[in-house]
Amino acid sequence: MKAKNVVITILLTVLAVIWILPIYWMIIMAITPNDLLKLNSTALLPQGITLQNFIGVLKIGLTIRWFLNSLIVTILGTALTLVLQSMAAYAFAKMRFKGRQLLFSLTLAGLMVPKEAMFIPLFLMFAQISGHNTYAALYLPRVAIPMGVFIMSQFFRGIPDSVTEAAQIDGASPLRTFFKIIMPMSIPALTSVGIFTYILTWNDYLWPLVSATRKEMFTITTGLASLQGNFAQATELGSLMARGVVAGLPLFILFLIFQRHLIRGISMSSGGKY
Amino acid sequence: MESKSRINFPALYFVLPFMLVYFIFQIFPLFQAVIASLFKWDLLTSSMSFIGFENYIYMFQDPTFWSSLMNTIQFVIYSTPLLVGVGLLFALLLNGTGSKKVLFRTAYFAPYVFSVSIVTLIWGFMFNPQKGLLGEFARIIGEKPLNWLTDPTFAMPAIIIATLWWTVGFNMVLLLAGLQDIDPSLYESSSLDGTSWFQDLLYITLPSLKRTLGLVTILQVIMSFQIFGQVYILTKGGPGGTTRVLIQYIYETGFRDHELGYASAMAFILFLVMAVVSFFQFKLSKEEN
Amino acid sequence: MKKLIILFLCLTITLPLFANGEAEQQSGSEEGGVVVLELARFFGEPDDSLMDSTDLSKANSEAATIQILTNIFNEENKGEIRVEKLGGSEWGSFYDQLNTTFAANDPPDVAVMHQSNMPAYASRELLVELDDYYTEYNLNPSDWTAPAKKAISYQGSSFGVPFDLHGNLLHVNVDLFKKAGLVDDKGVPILPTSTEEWFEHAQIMKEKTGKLYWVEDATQFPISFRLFHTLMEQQGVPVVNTNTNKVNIDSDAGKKALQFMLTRFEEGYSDPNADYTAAGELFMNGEAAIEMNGTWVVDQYSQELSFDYKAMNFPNLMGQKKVWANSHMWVIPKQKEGNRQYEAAMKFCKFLGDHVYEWAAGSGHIAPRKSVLEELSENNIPQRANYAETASNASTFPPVINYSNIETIIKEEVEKTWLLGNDVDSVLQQAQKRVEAVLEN
Repeated sequence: MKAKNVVITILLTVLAVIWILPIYWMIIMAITPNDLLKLNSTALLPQGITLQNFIGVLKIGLTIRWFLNSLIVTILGTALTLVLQSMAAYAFAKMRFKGRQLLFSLTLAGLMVPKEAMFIPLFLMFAQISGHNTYAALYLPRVAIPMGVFIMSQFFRGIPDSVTEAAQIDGASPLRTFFKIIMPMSIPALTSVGIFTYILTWNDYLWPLVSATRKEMFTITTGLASLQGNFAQATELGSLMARGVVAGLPLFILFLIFQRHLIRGISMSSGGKY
Repeated sequence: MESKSRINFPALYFVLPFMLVYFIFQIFPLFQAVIASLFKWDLLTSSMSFIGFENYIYMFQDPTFWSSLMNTIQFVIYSTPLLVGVGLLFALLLNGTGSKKVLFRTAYFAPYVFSVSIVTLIWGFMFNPQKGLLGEFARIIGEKPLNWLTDPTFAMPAIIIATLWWTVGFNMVLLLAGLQDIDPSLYESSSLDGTSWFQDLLYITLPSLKRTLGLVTILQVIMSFQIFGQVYILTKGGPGGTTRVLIQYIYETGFRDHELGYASAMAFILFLVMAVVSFFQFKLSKEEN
Repeated sequence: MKKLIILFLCLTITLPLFANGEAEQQSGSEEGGVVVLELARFFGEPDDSLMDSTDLSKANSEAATIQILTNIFNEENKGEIRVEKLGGSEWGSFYDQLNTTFAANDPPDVAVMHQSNMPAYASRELLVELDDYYTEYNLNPSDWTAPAKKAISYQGSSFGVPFDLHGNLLHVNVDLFKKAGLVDDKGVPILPTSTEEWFEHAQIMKEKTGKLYWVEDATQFPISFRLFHTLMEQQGVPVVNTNTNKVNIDSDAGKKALQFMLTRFEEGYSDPNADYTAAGELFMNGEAAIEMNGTWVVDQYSQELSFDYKAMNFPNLMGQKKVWANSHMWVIPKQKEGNRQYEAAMKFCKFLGDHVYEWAAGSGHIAPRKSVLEELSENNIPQRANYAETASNASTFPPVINYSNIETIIKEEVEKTWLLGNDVDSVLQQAQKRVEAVLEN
């Protein structure tokens, strides 16, 4: 029994090192001067330490701007997703109205539409109203993906009717009931949906690639991609990696802080729970 | 289950805003794709002419469509068992509490928070025979470094490795959640019988996890069908077109060759394929609820 | 309360669509009297240190030269015109991105284009015809070389200001050639004059030095296409004949060209898995005696290499002195009314047209103006004399409106012979079929 545990721990440790090594390597390259990387880029201990690469990121290029764009798009997209989708989910779960079943089925059917394949009609639509290169173009299509409605409606169904009825007896309007009573009760589920939406929106690649063509409107994902595959990329490896670190680290740190919520959020999003 | 109130009007407030967004950005594009697929539609000038099913007929004769579809299917077939299997292995080994397990979970899940362009930034160089760690490792053990991204034998595996590293943590977490839902009393009774860990796995864990495993697999299939970013940035579909996937070909057809109608036709076919897969997902989740 | 919330929601959905602060910077905007020109180009971006430089002596690459030239223009026109670069700088997806701006009815004010790709836009009437502008802006078309004139014209009209002509060269490691004994009495490397001689030399190189004879990017960029095109043209058989609309890929000439390309890899004289960077590094590290690549690396190589480096004309291997070439030009996309600032755009194009000397000297490209060519040869810019003949051997792809697609198809198909082991005949048939389908469509 003991020996087996040791073997498993060793195995897990080796795998964890393999998993973390590429990230570590990126950080090492980011703090190594470009000249040294030209000669040798595979050292695992820094051959020389510089902050020049990071200063370059801050001073020149649009990395910071792209990062802010991603932040704006992701926050707006996530907030709208949470409000609109949980309202709809609440109505589907707790209200009676004509066409409810039909609308709900139609909404769930939307889960089948492959987001990545529908970029062409979306592109045309935004082109017609000159809507490209705006933040709204970047986050609105994401708000329409009904995953949150699906998860939240399952959650709301679990709330006893007595809760809403009590509020109504007190004379609260449905909106008031929803925002003052239901939403606070749903914070765990909302957090999970929120974090999940946040990650997916942050990682969107194809849609921002076609919609945001001005480099000041790039997201960090498309912006960073635009720096790769250049003829010159190999000569400034350190700077490139520093941009990767700047782009990746904030979310990484957020993840370390919120990892419990995040992991719970993902398991709920699968529809595997409740 | 149903609320007893008969209020109708507020329901409108609740449903309408989302429905509006939903119809405009999710349903309408689908119809537009179907319609566009019947036209020869030029991206640059927006000129269009009705050609019926010609785009579909062309599709069936277009070798690039077929090779892209086959490459996509190949990616789905190889990546799905790996991503689910390794995810399951991690989940089984890390089920339970303890700070060590949390630490390992964090390590395996960490790459998932990176966006695709960071993943390609790292792995583009990992795979580089001269500059990358994999090449260095090969030299250390006295082998010739592999041309991961430019040799057709290794290009698709390279994409799969990068994807595995990036997203397996996601599946691990889903499966961990499934494992935690298993009734502990099942194991108690078996431990009285003196069964081994392996027998527990075979007769209790896996059967109880069946539904979650099914869901994870289908979710993975759907994700894998939509692969684009890793390929587009790492290999651009090369070498020799061996990693060109369907979404990439749709993108190229629309935005390089200016053929929106044809691109829409292919997008619609992809939608059909995925709708079938999703249908099974719904059936599976309904069965259990 | 209710209404307020609903109003708020409606506003959050609709407002950001239209009001987006800086983001809503339409093409052709004026800021405080300054005309902002949007520039779409590739060529990459130079080191961070050169991003704001106006010092032409530091212009030693495409990226650096164009950046410095743009900076100088901005400096000279301070308070009136400001040029801002648009979008990603990645070469491989430049046209895809450019297409999205046209489709969104918001194209850049000035764009760089290849001769090969211009017809796609000119044929759709998306570019401003420049014939009248040349005289107005004191550009002198009679100074342009014949290839340059051909490059900018499509069906009788002119659509660009020529920037350069560029083609395939051989970048040669003279030290290795000396070691192999493949030099004449003056120490000049001897290049093969036939495919048979090619293999003889390659064998000598292998025996004497143990190095690869010749490398090129055989997997990534369309360099295999360029070689195939070159070898077809040397046999007098164009890949596509636009006059008769005939595709000649599946032909004896095609077979001869592709068989030669493939055999080089099979016999181990060249690396079939090299991508662009790897091919460059093999050459720079002295692992390969020849790198086939374009004019654009000449200056980088002249400055950086530790061995004796020489840029040379592509040799005549199959009968005629021909080599793949293309050219860069500056075009002005048509704008919707209200966004037109053709004058400022033309001023920038004219500025660039006036500085082709710096461009040619800073990048290795061949200048499109006769006067500049003379000036360059008088000033003895390193290496230029060695490949002067490339200008007259230059053979460009005929004007087609689906160039990108055709180029990719041919590149991908021919690569299949050495990457996937497909046989030459089936590859040629397949390529023929696919290119025909594209041309028909």
